[in-house]
Amino acid sequence: MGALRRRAEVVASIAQPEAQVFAQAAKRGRLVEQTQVFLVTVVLILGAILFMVPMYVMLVMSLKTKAEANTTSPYAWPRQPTLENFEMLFRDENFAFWQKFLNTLVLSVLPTIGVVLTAAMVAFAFARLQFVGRDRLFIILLSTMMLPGVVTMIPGYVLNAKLGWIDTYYPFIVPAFFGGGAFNIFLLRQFILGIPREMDEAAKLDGATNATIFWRVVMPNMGPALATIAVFSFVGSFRDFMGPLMILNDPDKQTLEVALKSLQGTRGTEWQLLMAGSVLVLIPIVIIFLACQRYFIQGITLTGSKS
Amino acid sequence: MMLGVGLAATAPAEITLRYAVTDGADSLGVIKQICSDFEKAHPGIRIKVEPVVDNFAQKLMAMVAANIPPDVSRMGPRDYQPLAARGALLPLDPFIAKDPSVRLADYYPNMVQFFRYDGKLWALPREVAPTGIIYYNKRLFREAGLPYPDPNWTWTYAPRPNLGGRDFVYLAEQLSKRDARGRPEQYGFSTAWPQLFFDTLMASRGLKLWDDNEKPTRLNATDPQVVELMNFASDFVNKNRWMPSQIDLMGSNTSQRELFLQGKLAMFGSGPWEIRRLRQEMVAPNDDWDMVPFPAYVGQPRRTMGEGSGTSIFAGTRHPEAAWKFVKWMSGPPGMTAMAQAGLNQPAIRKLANTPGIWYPAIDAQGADAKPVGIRITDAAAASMAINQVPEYFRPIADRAQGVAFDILSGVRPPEQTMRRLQADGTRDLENALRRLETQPFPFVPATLFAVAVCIALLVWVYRPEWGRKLTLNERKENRSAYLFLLPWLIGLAYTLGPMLWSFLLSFAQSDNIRPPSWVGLQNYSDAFWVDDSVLISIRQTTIYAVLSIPLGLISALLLALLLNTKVKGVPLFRALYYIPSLASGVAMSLIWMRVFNPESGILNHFIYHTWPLNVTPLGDWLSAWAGKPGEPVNWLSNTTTVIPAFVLMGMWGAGGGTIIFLAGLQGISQSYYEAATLDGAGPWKRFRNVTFPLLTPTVFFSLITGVIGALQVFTQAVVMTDGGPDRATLFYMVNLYRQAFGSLNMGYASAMAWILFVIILIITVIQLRGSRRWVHYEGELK
Repeated sequence: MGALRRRAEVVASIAQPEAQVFAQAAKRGRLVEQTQVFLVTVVLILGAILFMVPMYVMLVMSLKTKAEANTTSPYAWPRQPTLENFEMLFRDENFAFWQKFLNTLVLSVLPTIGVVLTAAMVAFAFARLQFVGRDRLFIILLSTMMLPGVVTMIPGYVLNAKLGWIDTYYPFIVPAFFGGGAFNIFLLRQFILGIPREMDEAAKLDGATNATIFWRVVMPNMGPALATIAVFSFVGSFRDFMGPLMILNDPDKQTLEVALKSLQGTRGTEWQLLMAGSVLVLIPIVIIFLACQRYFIQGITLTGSKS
Repeated sequence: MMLGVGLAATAPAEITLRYAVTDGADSLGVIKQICSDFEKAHPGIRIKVEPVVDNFAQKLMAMVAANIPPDVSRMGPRDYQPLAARGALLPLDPFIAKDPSVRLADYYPNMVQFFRYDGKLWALPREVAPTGIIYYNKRLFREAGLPYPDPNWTWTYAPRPNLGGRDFVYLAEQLSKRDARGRPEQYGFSTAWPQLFFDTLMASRGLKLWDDNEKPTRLNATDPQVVELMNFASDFVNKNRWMPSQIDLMGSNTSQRELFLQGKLAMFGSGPWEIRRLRQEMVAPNDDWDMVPFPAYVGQPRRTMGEGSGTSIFAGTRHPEAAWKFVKWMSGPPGMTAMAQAGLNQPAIRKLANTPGIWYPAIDAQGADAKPVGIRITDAAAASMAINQVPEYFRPIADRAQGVAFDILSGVRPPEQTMRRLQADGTRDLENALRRLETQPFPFVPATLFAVAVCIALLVWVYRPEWGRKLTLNERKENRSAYLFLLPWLIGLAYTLGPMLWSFLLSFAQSDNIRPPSWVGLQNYSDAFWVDDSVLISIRQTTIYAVLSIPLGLISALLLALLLNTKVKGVPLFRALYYIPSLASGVAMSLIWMRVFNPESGILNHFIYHTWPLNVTPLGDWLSAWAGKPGEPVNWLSNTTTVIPAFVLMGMWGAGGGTIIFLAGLQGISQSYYEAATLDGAGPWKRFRNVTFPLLTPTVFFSLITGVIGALQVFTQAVVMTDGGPDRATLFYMVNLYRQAFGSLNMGYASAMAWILFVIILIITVIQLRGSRRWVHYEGELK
């Protein structure tokens, strides 16, 4: 029976005009694509739910009263959801949310600017230019990432003290304008190496200097990579704990992450407060991340490139 | 001119004292109030409070090393010895001798003794915190028909029913109940943390794990009396289940304190700081509670443990007299009264501690404030605190010895075995520590010359291949241009390489971060390989973790990025949802993850064992068999087989960062390549293999290198969640290193470990670099 039906289909398809055949094929193709999209969406949703479970616990606990936090299961939605924990944190003059938020913002935005600018410069040199000692200098660059920070903590502290930088913001901002860290330079170098050289060469034929190539040809095509290191740098500075803890003495200069730790108290933690604080610290980062979303989507524009 | 002189003569110069504290949210307000009261009483002196919420000892050490310590600081009995030995603190005896208003005899003598070292007093005590206190729930006693504990009660290894309320073990036994399935639903006794139970039993029984406190020469972990006590402690928890084990607690998602609050624990051993919160949080029907001191061992005087803190003056202060005034205030009646009335701390001056209205409830106190009636016992508890002051070189060994409490109380192996291992390890550690006491001064001048030589050698290594080669004009122009681009990094290199060089020099020395280092040559390196077995264990465990997590992490990040790169609706939202978890606070997340991994109530086992569809598959049984405990739900974090896979799982969850990087790489691939491939008739798999993946290899290479570096330095979760256990399964290299640096104060040894790791990573990276030429495709080739 099936064979007969198929034969009829084949005969019918030959008989139909070509446009109809194409239309049917296109519809099938779209159907396949739609199923794919649907499946992918389902997988992503399931995955997202799994991923978000710990965040859910954090949120739920921040909305519970002290009594509920101690006695109910962490996964249970609060019977009496309350914003009192957030209110307490805003009012607490030792936690000083807004002041610490401003401090943290300064300590995150300024270094990010420095990192994006200088890491790109240095990465450009390593990726595009030929100079004496390049490959071995690159190894030195990588090796600065390889020593655990624990053992350079105290020598670093002494160095900062000799510079008079303790209890200031300099140790956080100044190094960002001098390369911004091997991690970022390395990432950008890999990315630049992935950009074809045609445009460089075209520009050079037009007499452009390296600086022009850097600024007009390479940088505009690095949107996704620059956005990536901008987000990483911002988040890294925002969430930095050991740095502000060691360098800053004055509590008025402290950052949110350190203030968060103080919620743990010397004798026993008030979980609902700690979680509320964690949520508060997370919100600005999420906002920045969402705001930067569009830079992730920029693709490479290869106008007039080889076909 | 006259006016100027007059003004200068009358205005007191304002002195600012920096005061470092560890106080967090619960007590910082009180501290600040005490300080402002002091300022009002002493015009001309300002107090600048500097809270250090964590890593207090490290920060103090760093400040001393850099010569910018605070003027005054809170000091604990365990923190001050290295500082005192180096001369970083001022002895307080001269101040006390000159000042009749401070009488040391007023303070609890054992607390004062805590702060004596080398014949001098290094801190003035502010509070005592005896931990030989038991809070008990009177309702549970009444319902069981048992008498309340008698303050003169005692204990021995078996229950003595004929003594009733005068026997601790009998009461613990009677107040432990099981449900119909045989699982405990009520416990007779628990301390607030397991180590306390162990330490209190040892102190009470009059035993020590080493021979002498002043000059320890030998461990006696295998002494028959000690082993007998270990067996008793282990049975108390594991066989008789009178006290919840860590597993029980994880399974029921509570802490010991919460059990007491919920009326599921009859007796709760802790310190006086609990009183304030218990007054608020013990609500009906559990609001009838009281206190009693920990019992004495039959035939012996009562001995328990305790802590406390005091206030010290740093030697670098420019205002010692003003600092002393503040120390007198903070560690005297004004400071103690404020802390006591806030319910935070028991005063170290005995009379104050016994005065109603300060630490004891006021005579006219009503209701909850009048509780607990038994608060008077804190005085006796404080007076009977035992001190375990050992010489500084022995402290890390003592701490590690006392750490066997975890093994004993978790029942993971027979106590005899644990004690034998402790005896072997501890003896070896003690020999090393004694060996290290014979030191030579650090040769600074040769070391500096050596550092300079290393820098020169590096320069030579970088530039020699092209030495003497003549560059064309173009090459020279490009060279100059390149170095201009590199300039920021090159300048910053001094800031980065300086500390690295210093730590390299330190790896040939022995340093406790505070005193000048002493020279030991290659001893640190040889110890790491041949003497200390923990280093090789660390390397092994870290390698296992890396081998598992790097490929899995890379693949999952890549898959996720591919999924997120499609035309699915709402991709920006998904991207955010997958990335945000990796942004959350490390400590908060670790604690939440601990609950996820609960064997009995955690969500992971819930899905595997109790929910459709997984519970009908053999997955649960396979997992249990693999973990070595068939029939039981897997105890992820307490099982040496499963703990590293659990960590790998956690790591993958935080892979949002890797996904973002791959996404950036994917976005960097021009659409024209895909169009060309589709026109040539390539399907999705071919497109991936021939377009996507090759053009993604630079990013893969990046993730591989940074992944290796990251995996080999895994740290935070292992410290917060498992503390290097169980049985050193998560004693990752960085955990070990950190303990050596700041736990055992072996900074030189830690530096050697760091440089060993550096060499390992360097070798792996160079191999990857060489290999990359074969599989990494750079579209804008590296010429």
